[in-house]
Amino acid sequence: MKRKLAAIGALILLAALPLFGQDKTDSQDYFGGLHKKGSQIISLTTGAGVPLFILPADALATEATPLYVGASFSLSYQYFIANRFTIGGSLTGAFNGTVGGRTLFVAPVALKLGYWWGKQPIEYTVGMDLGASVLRLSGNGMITPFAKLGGGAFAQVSEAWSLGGQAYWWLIPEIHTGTYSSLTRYANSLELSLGAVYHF
Amino acid sequence: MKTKKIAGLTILLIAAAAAALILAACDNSYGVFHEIQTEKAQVGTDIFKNATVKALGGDGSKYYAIMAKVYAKSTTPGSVWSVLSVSNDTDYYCSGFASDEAGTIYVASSDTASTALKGIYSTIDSGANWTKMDSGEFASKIVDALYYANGKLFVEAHTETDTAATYALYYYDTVSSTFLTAGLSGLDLPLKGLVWGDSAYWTITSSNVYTSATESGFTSTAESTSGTPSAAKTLAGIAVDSVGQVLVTTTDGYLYTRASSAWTNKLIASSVVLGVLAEVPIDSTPSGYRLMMAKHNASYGYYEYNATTSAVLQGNDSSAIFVPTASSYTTTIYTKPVLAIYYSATNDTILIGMAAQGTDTYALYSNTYSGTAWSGWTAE
Repeated sequence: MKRKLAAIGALILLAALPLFGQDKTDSQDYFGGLHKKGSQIISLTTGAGVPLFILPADALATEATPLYVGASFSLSYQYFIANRFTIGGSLTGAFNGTVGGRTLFVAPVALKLGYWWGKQPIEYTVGMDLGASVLRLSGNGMITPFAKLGGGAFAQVSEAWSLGGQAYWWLIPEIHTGTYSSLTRYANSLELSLGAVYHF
Repeated sequence: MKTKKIAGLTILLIAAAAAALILAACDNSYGVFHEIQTEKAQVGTDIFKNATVKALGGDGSKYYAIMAKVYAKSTTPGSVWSVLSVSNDTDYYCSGFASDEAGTIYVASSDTASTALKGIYSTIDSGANWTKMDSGEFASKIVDALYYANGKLFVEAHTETDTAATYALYYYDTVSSTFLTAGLSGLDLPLKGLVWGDSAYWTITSSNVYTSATESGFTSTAESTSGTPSAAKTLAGIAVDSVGQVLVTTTDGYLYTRASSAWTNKLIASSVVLGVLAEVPIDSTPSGYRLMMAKHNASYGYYEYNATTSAVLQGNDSSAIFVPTASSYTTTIYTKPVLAIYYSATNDTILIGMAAQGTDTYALYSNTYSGTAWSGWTAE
């Protein structure tokens, strides 16, 4: 439980960090115009998927942490519908090994909402992805809702490119219905990744 | 314009097909995270990692797992597996193993390089002392297997030429203390087992059934009574159940049963290759039995077959007897060919041996009845 609380705290702090980076002087500049309405962003990230906990606990569970730290890869597109505010989409793939020697594959497709700000050369973002995810394990699968919430900070390295890192909390509600409703689970994990942002 | 419209429709059609495929892959009855939550880390003995266990046995105080050598472990909890020294020799190849389930085990020990037989030995004290049983009968032959049935020890051996091998069956005559021919010889295929049931000895090759009322009365004429698995079938495994019925599996999914001098058959699963089988009680009473049958279709593992109700369950079915959770089967046995199943009535324990090469997992798992439920499969 302590581990879970620490992870939750760490995530909140990480996600909130960009907020401290807000600068009044950025209010009219919009990061050199890159965060202005009509701008676009493509971002690529790759990193670790840290499994946190699955709710509810299973009475037959024998292992405290049945999933190992895995890897994730994400490609997203965002369009500034207003200054600083984006809407877009993301495609993600993630793998985690299980203690039983299997591999869990998660492939979310999501609508992405974001808020960007910063003072050159550092830009910040917070955002949320909402969508659906394919889960695969031992040839069996489910399509589940998917949400992730978090933020990141990127340093501008050229006119168009920024490099940085981000932290996102993933929530995967695996919903089962009818006689199988007892199989419903809510999986939580933390994405810690490095990435590149391309502005155009 | 027309081309654009066609392209758009094509993309739409592909997207719809992809969505349909993805939705078809969904299984509301399969809880992905529930499965993961119930997984158990398997940490077994390195001896059995990426290995093949081809036979299993016990004598009440030790379990035996046969690979290139015989590995033994005391049934006392916490004991470890080690190479069984056969007549003070650990540099041997085990070419045959059998147990009478009454405290005696038999081991055919061969030279690791030449395959020449070193000796067929028996022990009544779990390997502390050994008695050599053969006296040169297999000097020009290669011993392939030992079988024990109805109080008799049988030896399968073959001779080789440049082009073919010829198999024959022998039994141990306790009067002359020598191995004599059982009457079955000149076979071009190896035997797959030998049992006593329905008042006779029974053995199979992959294509024929042979039977004899006595240990020396086999002939090379295959059994041909009505209902016998025909030559069109490929026979896979043979066993006997608790009421003395002879059971034979086939590679096209059939289970043949010999009882009251007649054969019957049942299709267990179409297009599924069945393999070795063993009858296992569902509890320590026992209040019932299940036939565990090795299988191979898209995956490996075993079926649980209830002969009373004719119900066939996958090893990870929610109603399966021998696992408390589906993942107990799926993470241990599901991907590996099952080669041996052994039940110890003394310890209410099932051992299952598999071919685990290339899987980076284990070849031997055990499952013990606690008095209320089966523990599930745990790597040895």
